[in-house]
Amino acid sequence: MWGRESQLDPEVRDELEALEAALAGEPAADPELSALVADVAAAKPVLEPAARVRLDERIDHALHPASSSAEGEAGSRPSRMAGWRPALAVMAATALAVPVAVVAITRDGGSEPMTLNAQSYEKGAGSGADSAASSPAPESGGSTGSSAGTEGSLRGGTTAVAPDATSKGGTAIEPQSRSADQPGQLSRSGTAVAPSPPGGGATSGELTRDRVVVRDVDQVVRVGRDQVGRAASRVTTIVQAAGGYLADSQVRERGSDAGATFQVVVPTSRLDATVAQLSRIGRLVRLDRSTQDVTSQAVSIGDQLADVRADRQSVRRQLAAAIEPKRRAALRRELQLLSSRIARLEGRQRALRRQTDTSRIQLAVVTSGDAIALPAPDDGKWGIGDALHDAGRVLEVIAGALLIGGVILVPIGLLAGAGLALRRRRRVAAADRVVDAA
Amino acid sequence: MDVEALYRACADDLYAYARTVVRDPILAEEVVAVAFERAVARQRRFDARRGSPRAWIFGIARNAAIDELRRTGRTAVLTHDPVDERHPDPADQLAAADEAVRRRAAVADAIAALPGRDRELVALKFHAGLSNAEIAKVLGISATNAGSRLHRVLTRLREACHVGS
Repeated sequence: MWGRESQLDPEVRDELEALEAALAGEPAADPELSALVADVAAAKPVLEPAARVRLDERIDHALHPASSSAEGEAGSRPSRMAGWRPALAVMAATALAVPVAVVAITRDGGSEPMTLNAQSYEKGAGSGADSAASSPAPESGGSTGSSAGTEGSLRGGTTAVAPDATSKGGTAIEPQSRSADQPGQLSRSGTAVAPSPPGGGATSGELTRDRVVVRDVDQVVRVGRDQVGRAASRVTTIVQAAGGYLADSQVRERGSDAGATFQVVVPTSRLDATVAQLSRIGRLVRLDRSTQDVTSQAVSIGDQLADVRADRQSVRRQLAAAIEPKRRAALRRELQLLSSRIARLEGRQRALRRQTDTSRIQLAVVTSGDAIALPAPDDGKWGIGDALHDAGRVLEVIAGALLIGGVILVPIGLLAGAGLALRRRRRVAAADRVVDAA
Repeated sequence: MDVEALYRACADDLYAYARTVVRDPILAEEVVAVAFERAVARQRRFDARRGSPRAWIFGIARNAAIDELRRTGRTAVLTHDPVDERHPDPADQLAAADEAVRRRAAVADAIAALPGRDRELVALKFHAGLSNAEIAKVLGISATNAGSRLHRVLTRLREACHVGS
């Protein structure tokens, strides 16, 4: 009967139960309480008949609005919550919009390398030429464009290719990144792949005109189980023809683990042509390109060299003019220091030049039995696999939005809840004060 | 929600409650009228799961009473004219002789002397016959709190009776 009043003091609870019995008129009720109930009931204000008539009229008007304007007045009075509803709606919309925008921005940010690749391709496209055009099947499958426009290292996305299949599209690419002649390819994973910059010396020339870059390629080619030896000799021939060398090679012509790995070093000017030729020794399975921008490093070394050389020239002039033995000895020591410093800088410059003049190709020749993840050939139709892939992406985005939304909404909800509770408590206290003052 | 039926069932109790709180017959009448006008306007929003119709209408009446009290400048009006001590009412003199009437008068005085919140409790419990849970709903407090306050009021009234007798 008392619900949560089990927390009440037993004596209080007994008293209240006795009061209930007296109010109900039970014969066993406490006589004193029954008398009190009767006395209080006798003091109950009574509605006068005239007042009753007036009230009846007003309530009748309220109940039948056709003949009353009071109802409209009372009905049109907005509730306190009504004022909060638009604010709550705005807060909810903001809380939903922010995470969606964040997710969208994050996704856009993730596609930034695509734009860079495309730009670097466009930059090199003006030189025309050839390697991509001359090796249509494997090369068009997706060399990853190098980034000529950024500092630091940019790793191109892994591009898995099959000779007869164009890689699967699915992610938008900047319109300007597509060339009319050699449109940018899109890997199945959504990585944008610009066609290889036109090869030959023009490529490096274009790229290094403004920038100094170190380029590396990781390449996997599949051959028949009995063709490893032939492929290895083809690799040697191609590399030598390109003016490069094999820094390391491991060839296993027979057995279950037949295959070969090569560390190829070729002149950067011949990189693209070499990659194209190596791709044709079998079936190109994977092609990764990475580009490291060392422009700032090269410029820094060049500036330091110029400064130190100027210093050395100055010291030499001072030495020629100096007569005092002590002064001459000091100048000679300084000259030696400067010369050794110049030698160190020139060494660093040469090393850097070696890095930029040559490129490394990490080539793996695998046989048919090896498990290399190949993308399913795309027939251009939208199938169950594509649906599952797209559904997965949608769920991923929704989960991200919910996570971010939760991070935003939970504190807002807690604050709003605390604010509402405080407001409600204040309202109750204010109402009690008004009643008390009456 | 049948507001008309609710009016027929509760109008007297609601008036008693309103008059006990605002202490003015005209103001109490206005409170009852406004409470039912608001009830008509909001009847679609009534949710039986959140409380009984009586608790709902008394909650509306309480807000209406508070609004009226605020509008009248927080100054309560006495329910009756002050007694002129120089000219005692002959009826009172006769009534004083009657023990029961004297007790009732003492209780009425005790109720009138209670703070507003306690008077309100007396009206809700004794005049309107609301359960403690309904009172808690009307006042926006917990049932335990309502029980404690009711017990306190009961004690005061008992004391008033003893003094009166």
